[in-house]
Amino acid sequence: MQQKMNRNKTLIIVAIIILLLIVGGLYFYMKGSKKGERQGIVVDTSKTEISSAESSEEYASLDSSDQVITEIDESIEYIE
Amino acid sequence: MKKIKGLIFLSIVLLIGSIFAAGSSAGEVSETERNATSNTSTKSPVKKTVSAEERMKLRDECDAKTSRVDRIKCRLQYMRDHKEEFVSKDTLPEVCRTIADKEKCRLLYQRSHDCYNQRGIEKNKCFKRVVGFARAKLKDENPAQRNQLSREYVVLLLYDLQERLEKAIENEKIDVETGSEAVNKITEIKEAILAGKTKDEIRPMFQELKNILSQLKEEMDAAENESQ
Repeated sequence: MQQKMNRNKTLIIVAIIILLLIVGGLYFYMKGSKKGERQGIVVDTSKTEISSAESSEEYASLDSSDQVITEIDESIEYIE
Repeated sequence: MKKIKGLIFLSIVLLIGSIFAAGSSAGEVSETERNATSNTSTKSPVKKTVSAEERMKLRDECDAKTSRVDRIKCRLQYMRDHKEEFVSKDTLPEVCRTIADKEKCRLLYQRSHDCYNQRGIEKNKCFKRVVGFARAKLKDENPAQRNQLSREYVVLLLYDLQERLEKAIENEKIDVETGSEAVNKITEIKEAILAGKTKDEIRPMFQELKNILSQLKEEMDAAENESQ
């Protein structure tokens, strides 16, 4: 009788562990897929960035001091 | 039986621990880690070790100098020696000291502060947004507003050049003497623009600046790229 009760307890513990593992596995699986979705959005955003850059191609880039000097040169013309 | 339970408990702890460890290390780098990495990868020249109080005293001494050239030279020397931005108690930028509408001048600098952390087209867009552009190009702006917009825009662009010079001085690419001559000229032009001087008065000053900068452009860009 005692042995049977012990076996039942062990079975319950094993069942709980399996349940925990399944729940844990599902949780991390879902988290992973959400991350994947987010990465997908990032890719989409970069595409949007490119299209918005295309529409604003009239803006001068200010990466080098030469480009800044050229932009100043052109802008001074509009000072009255 | 107790041994089995103990083993089961231990294995649960280990499993949960390993799952969390795997989840939290998905190739993400925290902000502090990124900063630490970038700090170690950037080679910076030797920095003077002076206490915060002494540094503040040095900054006050620079601000107290009577001539603008001396103040600029002193500040640049400070940046080169201590490898840090010159932040003085006086929140008024050098160029705003002589301007009638000091608060407006200070606000222009304050609003544009974040633009200097950006690059390329984004930096340009940011400057234009701060100044109040409605179009991408000055030629497309309302003629009634073009004069004021171009004045403020040129001031921000000149400050961008100044920032590049300061970086180059800090990184010891340009000496303080040459650098201060250029920064002083930039300040002079900004003063003239904000004081309402005409294009014909500003052009020759800008030409002088271009002559000073012609030898320094490469050093400025190299310092800018190093600091990114």
